[in-house]
Amino acid sequence: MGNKKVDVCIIGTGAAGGVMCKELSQAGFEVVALEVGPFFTPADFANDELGQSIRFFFLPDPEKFPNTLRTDPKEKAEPGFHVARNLGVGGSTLTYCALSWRYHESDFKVRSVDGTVPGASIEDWPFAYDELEPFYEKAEYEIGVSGLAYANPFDPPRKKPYPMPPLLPIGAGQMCIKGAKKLGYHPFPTPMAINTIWYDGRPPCVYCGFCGWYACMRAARGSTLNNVIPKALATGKCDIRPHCMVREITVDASGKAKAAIYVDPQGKEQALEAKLFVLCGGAIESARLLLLSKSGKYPQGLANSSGLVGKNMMYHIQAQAEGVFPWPVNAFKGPFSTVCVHDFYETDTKRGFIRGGTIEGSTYRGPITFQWRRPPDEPLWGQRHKDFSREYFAHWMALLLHGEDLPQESSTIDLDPDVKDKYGLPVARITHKYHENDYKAANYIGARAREIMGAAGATKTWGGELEELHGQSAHHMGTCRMGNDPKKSVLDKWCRAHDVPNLFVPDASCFVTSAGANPALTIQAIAFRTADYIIRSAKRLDL
Amino acid sequence: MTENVSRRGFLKAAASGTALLFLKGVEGAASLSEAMGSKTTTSGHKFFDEHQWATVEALTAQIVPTDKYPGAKEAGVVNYIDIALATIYSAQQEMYVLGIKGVDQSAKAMFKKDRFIDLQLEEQIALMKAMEQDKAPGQIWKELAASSFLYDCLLTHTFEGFYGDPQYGGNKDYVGWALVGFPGPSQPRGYAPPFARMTEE
Repeated sequence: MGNKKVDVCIIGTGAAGGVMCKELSQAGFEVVALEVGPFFTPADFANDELGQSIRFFFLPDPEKFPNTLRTDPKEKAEPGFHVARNLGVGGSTLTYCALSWRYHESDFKVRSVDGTVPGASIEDWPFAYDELEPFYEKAEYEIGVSGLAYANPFDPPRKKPYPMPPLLPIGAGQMCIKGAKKLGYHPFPTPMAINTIWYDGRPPCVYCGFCGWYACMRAARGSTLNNVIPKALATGKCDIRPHCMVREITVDASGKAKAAIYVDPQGKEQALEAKLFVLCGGAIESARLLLLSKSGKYPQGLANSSGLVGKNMMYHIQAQAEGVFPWPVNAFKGPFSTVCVHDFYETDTKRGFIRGGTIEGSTYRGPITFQWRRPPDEPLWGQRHKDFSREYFAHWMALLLHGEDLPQESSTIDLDPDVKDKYGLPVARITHKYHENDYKAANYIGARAREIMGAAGATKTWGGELEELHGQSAHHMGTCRMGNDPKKSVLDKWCRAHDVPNLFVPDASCFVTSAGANPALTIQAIAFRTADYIIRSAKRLDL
Repeated sequence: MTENVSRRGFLKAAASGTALLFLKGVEGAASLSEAMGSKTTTSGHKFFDEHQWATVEALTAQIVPTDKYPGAKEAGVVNYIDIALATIYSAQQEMYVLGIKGVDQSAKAMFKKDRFIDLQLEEQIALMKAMEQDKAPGQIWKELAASSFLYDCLLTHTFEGFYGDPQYGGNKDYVGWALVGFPGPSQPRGYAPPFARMTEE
């Protein structure tokens, strides 16, 4: 069975792909979305730490979809589980923690604000916060974000309040408020893509406690699986095809993208021609697919005349401070984060590093995972370990922080010369080393997180140093950065490839810098903005 | 206290929720067929023979000991591991087959007893502490790091079997959840505020 040519082929159905499916199909275009993972239904989801969260129901099987990692470009990269991402319709929004940030005004102009740093490839974004603001607003209303406008004194300006009131502070949130206020900081309710009232036909959160790293059983959390994708399907114009792995985008004689070559669920190779291609595979897989798509016209890979596809790969810095309290904090109740602190977000040169991050909330996942949460002087097995579990399970909490990972041209995605996935395709090889600035920032903010818990009454705190998680973090950005100069960037300010006029990459690949907070809402705001541009420019794009 | 590499690496992986996959990358050692040459199938268990079952039961009982509250033994952790190895964790069968031989070799070298299960409880703890530091004697541990068997297999799976949902064969009568006060699945009711206290009463 052949494929007929369609208006738009979307590759990947996560945070960005889901938004593109809805916007472009509602605008009347005929859309086919190719998704490598399955199409889950709520019956697949459960309050089950072992079955869902530990056994990684939603994550790629490292034997079928390995990645390789190295910190030094002279070393051989080791295969393993280096990329936390969900495979399936909804992508990583299936199990994300749902923190939904507007990046600050300074995040779009780090080069102008902070200048250059040795070893880092810092640039300004090709647009300012003001240009994205209307699309942040649209994303907050379409995705469904709860929060309290103006509660965060460091927030960028906004025109409308959040569509829903914020979540109530869970135990860790209460402790964060208490400690942060004592120390003169400014705690505020976390903006979360979690319903607090009936909204958009979905019920409110009941604080079940199986949140980040779980798919939401009641669709109270705003995965694209349950907010935008149903609307895309309702148009009758959007065909979502699960279990389809795209291995190449081919080009025609003029250099425009012609067809997506993919392996269908039966293992057969198919070609899908489209007038326009929208690549939303995330910063790892989008870059990999472009590099896999080599042709006579594009010998370095598609859209790669700058040589920058795969370069400037960023994670976020991450550290986790933990503590125990004399009273129950009950980390097992409620979502991942309800209270945050942004007092360490902007650059303060007195601290000895630039940029900063967000102290954001607990990292509880369940009683199994809790068994590894121990101060360094506590044993991991035996009588004392059992006693600690019994005594502190309800009295433990953590404050996780995410912060800015400075871009470095030496941090890259390329094709591994040896390791192949189950389709026989070279896997993405990650080369990433944290910058000196990253250690200073994470350790500084981590120490403040411990102080907050101490001020709230913790009897013991530990941790708070940079975790060299590399690919085990779920935030990947920057591998096809945007810019106005085609020699110094892969995409223009609309996420269109400089080299390929009918190819857009509106996922986190386009980020120029990583900012100090979770990327999902910014990915989605950019996707809404790109969709708006495509719809407005349909004639010029031959749609 | 000096942390060994395995503990550090493991904690890192566990913290980010990738512990299982981290250890899935651990290479097995000798060939499975060779290691399993003497395996009988008359035990009535899904994977282990009687000796393997008893050894793993004793090892897990040191990880979550029985005191005035039930431990790994009462929770049926070995039953959980047996089922998991026969199904979803089949890739780790050979680590168990080798590791069980390894602890018997260490028992012989350290205490002149043929089997781990013949040791006194204090001797078992001493042997496992040596494993933690990769100082346990025995030929097997040249092929399979003792600390890797301890952390990646025994600790990981004991915690899963003791604190996981009983549908997977462990946490019998919810003893693991009762120990720490975890109420289990909470949907569709969830929880209502107040979620925590602010101070001691």
